[in-house]
Amino acid sequence: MTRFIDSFLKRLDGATEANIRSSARRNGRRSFLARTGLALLGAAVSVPVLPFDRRAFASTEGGASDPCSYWRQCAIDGFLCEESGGSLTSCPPGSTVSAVSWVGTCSNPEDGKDYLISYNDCCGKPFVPTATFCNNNKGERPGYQMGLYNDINWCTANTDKGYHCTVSIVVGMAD
Amino acid sequence: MRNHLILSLSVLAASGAQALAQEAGIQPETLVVEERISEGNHIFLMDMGISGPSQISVLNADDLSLEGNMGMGTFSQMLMSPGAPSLFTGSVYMKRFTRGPIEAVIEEFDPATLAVKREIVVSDKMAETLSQRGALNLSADGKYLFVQNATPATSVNVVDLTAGKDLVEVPTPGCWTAYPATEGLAFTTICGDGSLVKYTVAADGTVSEPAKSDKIFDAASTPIFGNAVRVDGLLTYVTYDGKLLMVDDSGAAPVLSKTIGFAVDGWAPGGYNLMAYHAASHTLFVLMHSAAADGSHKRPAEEIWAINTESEKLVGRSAAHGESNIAVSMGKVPQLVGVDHMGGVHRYDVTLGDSVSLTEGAAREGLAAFATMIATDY
Repeated sequence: MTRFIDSFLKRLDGATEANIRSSARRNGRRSFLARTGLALLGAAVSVPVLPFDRRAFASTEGGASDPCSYWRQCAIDGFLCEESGGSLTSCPPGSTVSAVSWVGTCSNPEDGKDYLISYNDCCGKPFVPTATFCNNNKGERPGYQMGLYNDINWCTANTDKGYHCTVSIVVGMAD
Repeated sequence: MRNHLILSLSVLAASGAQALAQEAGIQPETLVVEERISEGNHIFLMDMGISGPSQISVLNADDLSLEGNMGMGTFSQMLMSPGAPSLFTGSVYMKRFTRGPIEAVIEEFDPATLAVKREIVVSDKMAETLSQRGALNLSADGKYLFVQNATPATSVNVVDLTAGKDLVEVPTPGCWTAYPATEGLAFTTICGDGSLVKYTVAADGTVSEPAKSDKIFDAASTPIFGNAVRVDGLLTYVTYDGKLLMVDDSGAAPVLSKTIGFAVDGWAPGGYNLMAYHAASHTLFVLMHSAAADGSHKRPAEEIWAINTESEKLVGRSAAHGESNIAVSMGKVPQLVGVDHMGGVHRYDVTLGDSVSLTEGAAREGLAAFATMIATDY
């Protein structure tokens, strides 16, 4: 598994914007919104800005209307890009895609299969205080397994290192 | 218009205030800066900035009132030195706040005056990571700092506090955290293959060959938290499923000295800086949650458990308030402080004895937006 993650990270080092855009076309946010409901976005902006509820494992507590409970967010730790000007699979305008990322293995309830999810940060801008903050940790490990670690700024390898938000990209099937 | 107003106010302040005050029959007030925080006990709460400055709020430990704060860069670490003569931080400053060149800085604060005593610009490989005890530590003699780096390739930066500059970067691939040995200039790091590795550094910056322990945990099936505490001389880690791994790091290579299992009935440790040790009573406190499952290891605490490290028994289970980070004061009878997942601070009085119990003595909500760490000066 470690070898796989290392290999995966090396491949991600070369990730291009084209890859992300391609992925975004396959997994647009429209389908996501259909699941979660547009009302969520309205609800999100009415939530007090601070502090951020950093409860872990919100996916089992928030119910179906919780964007953090969407299946591919099983190991996300960050602000949702789809509420920051981007989408589930695209970074907001003017930001940059993190050159490296952490990965999670999440089960899609629609087909019962496990998928590898790359959680890329989008970089170079402030976070959006009205965006939902999700903190899920399935399979998460400390920095001794860096490819599975979500408590680090994954914009760290970029020229512009400011953390903006996080996307969730399906990159393959889990073993 | 604005310039005129400023000019008018300046003139008023410089020469007219006293005359006006005398005409009004009052004594003019004098603007001063508070010299220091109050005497007594205080709590230091890290509110980590993730795209902007971090800050440490300083609270009166009795009533949790705010007495001041300290500011530093993004993703700051925090370390209160033993006896609290200094509070160290390590953080990253981005030239354009969220973009552009960065500068990584160690800052040494006076925890009484809250003023910066000095700052040291260090390697900009400093890890931009959640504030955690394994990322910034003092060497045994207090003359060096161990700083966790991540680009995300990991290394440890040894900073010479006397010279005020980096001494050497120690590559630690696949490993994380740097906990100091109790003697010499040495640290131990956790590695993904399940081992602990100790590095020793000479004063000239020469680094020893890595001294590796046997495999003491399995990262896939029984991972350990990055948070470790020193317990009666042993470096003590906790597994996700609730076992203490107590490691003797005094020799050439770390050796697992003993294991204490304490979790029962589906309960497990959870949080970030989730353990605190009170040496005088041999009591280790751990944040715990029920219905443990894959991914639940950062859940806020439902209970705080007390383990006596001499008897190796669970000696107390007390109600918690959603804490994710805790610290315990020193002295004969300690107080335990914690911060919950919404930035609320809780202070508990500790009753020691055959059983150990916590009673919440004070609480205050919403003190931090992104609380990551808590410490005391007592």
